[in-house]
Amino acid sequence: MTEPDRSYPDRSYMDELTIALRARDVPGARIGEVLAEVRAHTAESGESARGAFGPPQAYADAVVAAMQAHPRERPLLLGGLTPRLVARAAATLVGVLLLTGGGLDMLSPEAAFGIGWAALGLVLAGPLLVVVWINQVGRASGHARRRWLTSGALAWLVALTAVALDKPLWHIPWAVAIPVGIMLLVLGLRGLRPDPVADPTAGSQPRRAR
Amino acid sequence: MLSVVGEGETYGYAIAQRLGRVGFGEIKGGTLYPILMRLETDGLIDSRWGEGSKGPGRKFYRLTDAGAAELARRREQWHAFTKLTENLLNHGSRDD
Repeated sequence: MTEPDRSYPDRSYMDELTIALRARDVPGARIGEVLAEVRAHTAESGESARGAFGPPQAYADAVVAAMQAHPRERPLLLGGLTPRLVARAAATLVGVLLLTGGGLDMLSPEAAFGIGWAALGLVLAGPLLVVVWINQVGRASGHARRRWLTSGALAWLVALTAVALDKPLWHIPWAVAIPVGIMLLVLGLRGLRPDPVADPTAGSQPRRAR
Repeated sequence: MLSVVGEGETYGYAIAQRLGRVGFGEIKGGTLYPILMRLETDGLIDSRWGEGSKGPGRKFYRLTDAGAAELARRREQWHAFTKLTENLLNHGSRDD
């Protein structure tokens, strides 16, 4: 199994579709199938991917609905993300905040670092920022690992700035902040396990898709 | 869709063309593949990737045993429905 063919003419459509499917928590193997179906169909029909399959977000919705064994009402989506991904992003952000604040507190107790208003605002606005980032900046890359690592680095920088510059609203002892922060980070980053988008047509031997 | 796959192993674009020829009009990929995916999720069809004459391979679909049974059931239901409708249209006014 290898990465999909990067020479495909509708590359930007494929990238947008990949992101939309990733945001809906579709497994990498299934995304590979969907992309291969789009490539195969457009090669046969001569149509553009957008002409044959419609907007990537709408097609991703149709794929998710078709994957469900028992169709039910769509779960609440925020910017195309599933609630589970938004919860993971929030856990990552809060974990980073606690770990950063707790670490600084442990190193310089006299500075009395704490969670301030800006940091609190960041916690509340964080999931929204991550949603916007993934949907806009993230379009350039379909690889979930790189996207999450970059968003984690961004969250870290913003959290560090917020905690370091903000006036403490209340003080959280580092002995509490660090373990809770680590726990939230572990919960939030569980989605980082490798789940590459694999091209089912790349193998030499045909295989059953199911 | 089940009926077309039931005619023998086939692939997405050929299914769209077959449906178009019998009068269903142009079936877009965005409509076709989610239905095939749904049928596959429900275990009514099976698929495999094979060689394609153009570009990157083809995904071939075939009916499973459960799909064949479902096709027979739906065909029977459809025949019963069309027979009822036909009777109603042809003889309904005489019964009034």
